[in-house]
Amino acid sequence: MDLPIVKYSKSEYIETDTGNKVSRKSVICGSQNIILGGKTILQTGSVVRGDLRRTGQGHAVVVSVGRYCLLSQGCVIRPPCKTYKGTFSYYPIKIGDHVTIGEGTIVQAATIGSFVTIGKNCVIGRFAIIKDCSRIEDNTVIPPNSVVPSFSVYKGSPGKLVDELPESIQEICEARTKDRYAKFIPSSD
Amino acid sequence: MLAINAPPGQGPLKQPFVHYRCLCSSPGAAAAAPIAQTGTIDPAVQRSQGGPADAAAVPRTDASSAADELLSATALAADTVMTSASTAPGLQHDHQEMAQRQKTLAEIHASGNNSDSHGSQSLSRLYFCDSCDEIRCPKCTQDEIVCYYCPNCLFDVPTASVKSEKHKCSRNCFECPICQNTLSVVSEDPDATMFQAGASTSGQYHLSCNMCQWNSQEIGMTFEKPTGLAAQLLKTEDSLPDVKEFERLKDHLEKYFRAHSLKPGLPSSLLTSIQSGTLQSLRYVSSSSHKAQQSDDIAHYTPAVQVMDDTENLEKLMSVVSMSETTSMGQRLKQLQSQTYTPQRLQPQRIHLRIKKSRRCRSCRHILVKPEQKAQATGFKINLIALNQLPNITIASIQPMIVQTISRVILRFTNPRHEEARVSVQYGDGAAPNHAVLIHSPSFTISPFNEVWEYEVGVIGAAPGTVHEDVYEKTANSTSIALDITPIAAGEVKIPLLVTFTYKSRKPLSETGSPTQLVVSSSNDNMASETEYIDKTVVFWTIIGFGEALPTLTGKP
Repeated sequence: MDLPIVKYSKSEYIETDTGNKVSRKSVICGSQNIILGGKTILQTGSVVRGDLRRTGQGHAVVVSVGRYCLLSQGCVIRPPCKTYKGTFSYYPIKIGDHVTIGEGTIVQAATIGSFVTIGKNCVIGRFAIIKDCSRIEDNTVIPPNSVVPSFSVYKGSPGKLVDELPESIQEICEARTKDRYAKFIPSSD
Repeated sequence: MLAINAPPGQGPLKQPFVHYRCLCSSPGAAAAAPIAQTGTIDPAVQRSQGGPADAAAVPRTDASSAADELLSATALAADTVMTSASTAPGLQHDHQEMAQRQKTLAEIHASGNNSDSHGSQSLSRLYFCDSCDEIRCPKCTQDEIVCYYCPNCLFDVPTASVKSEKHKCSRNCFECPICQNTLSVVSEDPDATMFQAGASTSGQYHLSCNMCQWNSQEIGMTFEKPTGLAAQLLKTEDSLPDVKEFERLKDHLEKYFRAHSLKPGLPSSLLTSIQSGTLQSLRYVSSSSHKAQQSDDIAHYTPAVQVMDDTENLEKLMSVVSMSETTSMGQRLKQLQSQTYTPQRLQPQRIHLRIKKSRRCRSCRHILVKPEQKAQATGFKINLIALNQLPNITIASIQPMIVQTISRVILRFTNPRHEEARVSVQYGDGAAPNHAVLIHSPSFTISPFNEVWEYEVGVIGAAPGTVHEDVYEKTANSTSIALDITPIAAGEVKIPLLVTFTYKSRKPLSETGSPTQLVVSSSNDNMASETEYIDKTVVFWTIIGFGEALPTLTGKP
C-alpha cells in the first residue's frame, strides 16, 4: 500500500533552506551544536539535546542527523555520557541518512548508520552502535555499549537478533523515506 | 509501501498485499512440466489446477524434491526461449519459437492460476535471475558463505581459523550467561587506573553485563590484563569433560569418514547445524553415520566420561523454591558443555560468529547476490534483486470490498528499468472463489526510470513525448490502471494476475552455448541491431489481496 499523505498546519512547522521541516512544538536545545542534513522531519514533541556537550570551550557538533530522516512524535535524541578517567563528559551522536526513529523512543547511541528503522517506544542505550541497514522492532531495549550489525532485526528486552533483512533493504528504505518526505505537505488552509 | 517482513503463507493475510509468485513453490509447477513435453494439455491436470488450493497442494508435498529437479531442467530449456530477437529471425526458428513459447506460457499459466498465496512473497524478498529470466525466491537460490565475522567487534575471522575457534569470536567478545547480552570489560576500580597507572594487581579486570548487572566476580572470574580474554578463558573451556568427550568422538568418527572417502571433518553442509550449537551437529553426525553403520562396521566407541547419576540433581531440583535458584532452558542451551542447573556455575560464553552470504541461482548457477568481502561493508558487487528489474506493483487506492458490489482499485506499476517497458495484465480465472474482475486497460506502457526525477521531489508529471494511452494515470516512471472488482463471496479477496513484462534490453547476450544464442546468431544479417535491441519478455504470476469483503449491506434497495 502507498503511504498516506500527511498534512500539517503551516504555522506549526518551520521549513529550512535545505528542506528540513522542524515543528515549533519540538524541544531543540543548543541548536548551534545540531546539524540536520536536509529534508529531515522533526515532529511535534521530539526532543534533541544539542546542549549536552563535551566540557570545554569552542564550537562542537553534538548531534548530527543525515538526510531524509524522521524523528517522530515524542522521541528523545540525547548524546551519550560516561565518566572516563574521573571526568564526566558527553560524547557526540551521529545519525546517518534515511533513518526513522519511532514515537516515544529514547536514543543515546554513539552511532546510528544509514537506512536504519527504529520502532516505537524503544530505548537505545548509551554508546550503542547501530550499523547500516538494520531494524529495531517496537518496544525493544538495546543495552548500553552493544552493537547491532547490518541486515539484522533486533527485538525484545534485551534486544536480540530475531530475523535478517533482505538485500533489497537499502532500496526499500530509501524509496520509503523519500516518499514519506514528498507526502508530508502543508494543509491548504 | 512494501511489506518488508510479511510472513509468506502464515495464516490469512487480511491486509491488502501484492505478492509475486516464484515458480519453484507454485503447486502446479511439477504437474505443468509434462505439458511442455507433450504439447497437449491434459484435462485432468488442468482440473487439479483449478481445484481448491488444498487439493493442489497435496502432490507438491509428496514430490517436492523431485519437482525441484524437474522444474529446474524444464525451466532452463523452456524459458531461455522467452528471450526473442525483436528483428524477425528465420521462418523456421520463428515457428519453433512460437510453438515453444506457447508451451512455456501454458506451463506458466497453469502453474500459478489460483489464489493460494502460499509460497508467494513480496517483491522485496525476491531475486531475478537475468540469464534464466525468472523470479527466484530464497528457497530456489543457494547460499554460499563469503566471510565470517563477529557481530560485536565486527572483525573478519579468516575461514581457516573459524573451525579451530569453534565458530566463536576469539577476541574480547562475550555474552552474559544470564541474559545473553554483550559483556563489557571493566576495571575493578576505575579511579585506580588513573592514579596508579602501571601498578597492576592480579585480577584487576572483570566482565560486567550492562543489562542485568551480572558480574564475573560473582563466579570468581577475574583477569590480569584487559586484552586477549578469550585466550585466557580457552584453557578452562577446553578442560571441561564434555568438550574433551566431543573432541574424542569427533576424532573417532573422522577416521571412519576418511576411510570411506567422505569429506573429513565437518563439511559445509553441517555449518548450519553447527551454528545452532555443537550438540546438534554432533547428533547430525551420529545419525548420518548410523545409517551407514548397518552396512559397514564402525569401531565401537567407548566414552571416556560416564554419565553421572541424575538422582542428586533431581533431589536438588525438587527442593528449589524460586525460579532464580535454577537456570532456565535458554541459559542451559547456551552452555552446551556443562548444561548446569546452578546459576553460579554458568560461564560467560564467547559470541557466535555470523556469516555473509552470496546467493546463486539453483538452475543456471549464476550469482544473484555477491556482497563485498569486508564484514563492515554493506555494498554489493552483484545484487540482482527483483525490485530493480521487475515492475513494482503497488495498490494506489482501494475501496472497501462489499459482496456483489463493484469496488474500484487502482494498481500502480512502477518501472525500475532505464528502458521503456510494455506490460499486459491478465486475470487468472482459476481462482477460488472466482471474483468478477474487470481490468480497464490490460495493456499499457511504462516510461523508463530516469535519475533526474529523483531530484524533483513532489513534481510529478508526464514525461515529455509520451503517448497518451487509455490508462488511469501516467506519471514519471509509473502507470496506474483501474480494476473493477465485484467480490462474489465474503471473506478475503485475493486475485491472481498474470503479468507479461516486455522490455528492451540493450545488453548483448554474453552467455555462450545457451539455446538463445544459437537462435540469435543464426540470422547473420541482423546481428548489429540485435545486439542493441533485444525484446525480453518475462511472464509471472502475482497474487494481489484487497482485504476482507463484507457481506452485502442489508436494507439496501
